[in-house]
Formats: sequence, C-alpha cells, structure tokens
Amino acid sequence: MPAFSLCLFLSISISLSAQVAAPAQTATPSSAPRLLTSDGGLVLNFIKADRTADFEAVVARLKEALQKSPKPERRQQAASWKVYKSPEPGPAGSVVYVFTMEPAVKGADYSVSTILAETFPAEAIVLFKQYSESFAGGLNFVNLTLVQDLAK
Amino acid sequence: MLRIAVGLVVGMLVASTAQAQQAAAPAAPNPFVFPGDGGVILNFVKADKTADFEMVMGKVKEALMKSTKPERKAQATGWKIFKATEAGANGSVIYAFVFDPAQKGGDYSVGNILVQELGPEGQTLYKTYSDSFGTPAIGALLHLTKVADFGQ
Repeated sequence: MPAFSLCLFLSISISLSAQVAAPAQTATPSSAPRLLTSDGGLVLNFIKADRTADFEAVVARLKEALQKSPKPERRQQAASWKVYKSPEPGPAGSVVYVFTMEPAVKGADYSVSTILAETFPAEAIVLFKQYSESFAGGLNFVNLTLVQDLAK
Repeated sequence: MLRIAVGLVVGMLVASTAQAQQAAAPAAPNPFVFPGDGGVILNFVKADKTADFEMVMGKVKEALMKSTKPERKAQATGWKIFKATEAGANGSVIYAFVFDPAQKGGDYSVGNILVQELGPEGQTLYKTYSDSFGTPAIGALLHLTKVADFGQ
C-alpha cells in the first residue's frame, strides 16, 4: 500500500478491528412504530454470535410477511429492503446485520413486530421472542436524506 | 438523538484503542476496498464543516465521472451519500456512504480518489475533507455480504 494511503487512513482515525459503534437502542417488543420519514433508512442490528441462525430465520419470515401482506405499502417496503451481514465484529463479539431501506416508503412503519403480527398473528409472539432474544444489545435506527447520488 | 450519540461515543473509545494498535502494524489491508456485495461508512462530520464535506464529495463525484478508468466510473454507479437525521457523537453530523452494489475490489478511499484523479488539487481538497471530520471520524465501516433482498 502506498505510504500516502496509510497516512490518509491514520489521519481520519479509522480502526481496522473495531469499526462498529455500540448500539444505541435495545431491541425489545414494542408497539411504538419505527417510521422512516425521509429518503432512506439504515438499521444496524447487533446479534449474538450463536443466534445468527435464529435471526436469519425470522428475517426470512419477515420477507414472507411483507410479500404476502394484503397492504400495498408492505410490498412497497419489501421492494427496497435489503439485509446484509458484515464480517467486522460488533461490540462484545456480536455479529452486525445491516438493513438498508432505499428508497424508504415515507411514513411507513418498519417495526418488525408489527409486520410479523399483521401477516402471522398466530406466530407473531414466538417469532418476535426468537428475534429479540437473538440481539446482543440493540440496534441503531437511522433516518437518511439523500445528499448525492454519485451516478447522477 | 442523544441515545445514538452515546452509543457512538462508546464505539469511539474502542476504535481509538484499536487505532493505537494499528499504528504499530507494518502493513494493514485497505479498509476502503469492499470485496463483497456492498458497504457502509458512517462519517462523523463537524456541524460547522458540512459545507466543506459536501463540496469535496461533489468533487469526488466529478472525479469519478470524468475518470478514464472504467472501474472508477463503476464505483460512482452504486455510491450514494446520505445525511442522517440523528446526530452523531459530540454533536457531529452523520453522513452515510452506501455502496450498493460495491464495485468488488475497488478502492473507495476518498483521499486516493482525489489524489489519483485530480493530482495536486486533490491533495488540497483532501485536507479540506479531513479537516471536516469530528472525533471520532468514523462510526462504522462495514464490508457487507447480502443475506436477503426482500424485493426478490
């Protein structure tokens, strides 16, 4: 790597091994809506290393719930909701999963518990218990406004 | 907002320790190369330097689009910049870089892009860019592998 590059990295104080901030909120069952009010949204989920299968199983049901929903806005939400996993560890050895919603459906409720309960009312409690117990600490939920699309 | 800020401050403390360790390492991999499907960087910018940050990112866009290298143009295609509603650590403004898709193996280091594509002007711009960052500079740098696309 050129010396210049290394210098740039250091000057903005980036770390290689601990690049993820600690969660700001705890994932707990809640009836409070999680609204995205601008162009996009980002959620950092901090998941216990031994519970990633549980988390991913519920994520698969979440996808199903959105796609099977009779509400058009739910299918709209599905269209731009992606789930990623990061190899960088989160706080306390957690695994970081990132939800990107871009574009967001403005004003739509992205609360996982609500979405599951709408489509799978009989299973919602069990599914959300499995989901919330997979969290190591919590999540960061961020509303985003587009500043620049570098392709346009 | 406060909850987000507190969470990110904790991340900063961890990151600072790791940075000190990194300084002693002989050759580190370039963290701005994304080998997987996507990437996210949360940049913490000083509240009074957002105009500088956005100006430089405008130049980065211009540099990518005018580049003679096809891989630079490809990087522009999936790169979007968002501003978060939520505040970052120490009152900073969070700018999220979202690379979706990432150009696999592409170097997304802003410093390298500016200097390689714009020469001496790029060095001046990079100083403006790096001076715009708060402390910590980066809240998260995540190399992402897609787990689910709810729209497919």
